[in-house]
Amino acid sequence: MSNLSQLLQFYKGTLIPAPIAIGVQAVNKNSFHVNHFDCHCSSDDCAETSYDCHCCSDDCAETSYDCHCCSDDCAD
Amino acid sequence: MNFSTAWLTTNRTCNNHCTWCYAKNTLGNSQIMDFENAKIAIKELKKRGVKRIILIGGEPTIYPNFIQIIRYIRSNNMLVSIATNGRMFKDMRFATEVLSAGITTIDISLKAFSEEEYKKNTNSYGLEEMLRGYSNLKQLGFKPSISYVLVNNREETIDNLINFLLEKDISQISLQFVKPILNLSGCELPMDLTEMSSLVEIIYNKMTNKKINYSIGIPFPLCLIDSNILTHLIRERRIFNCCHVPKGSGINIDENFKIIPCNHFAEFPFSDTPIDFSNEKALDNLYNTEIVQHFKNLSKCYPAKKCQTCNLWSQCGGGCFTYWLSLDPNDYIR
Repeated sequence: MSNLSQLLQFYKGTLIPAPIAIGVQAVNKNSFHVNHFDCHCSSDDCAETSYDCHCCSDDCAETSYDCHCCSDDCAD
Repeated sequence: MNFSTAWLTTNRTCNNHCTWCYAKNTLGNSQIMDFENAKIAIKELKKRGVKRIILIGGEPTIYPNFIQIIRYIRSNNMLVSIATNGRMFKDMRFATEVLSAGITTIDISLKAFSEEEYKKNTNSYGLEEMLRGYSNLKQLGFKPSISYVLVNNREETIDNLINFLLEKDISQISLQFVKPILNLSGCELPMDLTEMSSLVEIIYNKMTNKKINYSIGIPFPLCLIDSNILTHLIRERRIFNCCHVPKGSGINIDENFKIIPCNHFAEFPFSDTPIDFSNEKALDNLYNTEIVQHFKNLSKCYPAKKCQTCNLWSQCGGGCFTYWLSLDPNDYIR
């Protein structure tokens, strides 16, 4: 048994599958950490900007904070 | 398998030894990432859709091929970020060279507010070097981000942090909580989840009062935060959470080209065999193995049954998966 398998035996959560959460996005545009969960980086538009990739879409401006969920890629 | 972001651990060596480092058990490892193989891996990552590579360590700026790897990543039209203690940027020539190589984002981790405290926290005197590095980058027209790891829930720490930021004219800060340290007996938690949530409330009150521009990474379930404060934090876009693991959008490669589930799992690769990136099927073969599938499935589960009916789920995601290797979610999730 691998070390990872051994470690996972300690898991105490449920085994009920959940939808993938979108998360909450801070607006601190200079923070590298903001993109740590990187759901919005799958768009080509996003690659053009340094890290604040969600502001390049008009759709995004319509949403409150989780602007990255307007992309089909992100919904995955 | 396609990914949007890749983390490359170029080296585990570090010029600091932070007491809270989640990878501290690996810091004695002097192995560094072979640059020629790294180039092959980067090419493969490019093919698999990676848009951004984050260089981590150890301390990535002391990687012998640091400048070359930045240039190589940029020449493949990918973004490159680093998480660093910033000390190497004290040398203006080094800072200039790194910027010329095309680095995209530099996140400097602030370790302490005085040299004595820096020494205590990292076993080095590095604060002055870090501040000089920050100043050099700014002089060169680059704005690095500054982050700070919260390792205790003392109000005094937040007061000291605020005073430091104001005194040094640092206009914004990204706060992160200390990470759990995983070991074969489960998980060592430097801070309890309820301590973290109470600290968030202190931060909100104090930083709002002093008009500090801050953001906080929340690794625990959002229901642990007072609902009024949570509403404000979300509305003001102060918090960020969730991670790439359940989405499967990131890949973490260690210095030996083993794939780890995420940075927290520095000593727990999916396989003990390094990935041969010149074999284009190697990654797919690994991701089809039972252990990877098992890990992915667990990371996509509700921690507690209560989460199933919680209207915060899509924003919360249940907190960092690693906590539930040590704690019972039912004891925490409201």
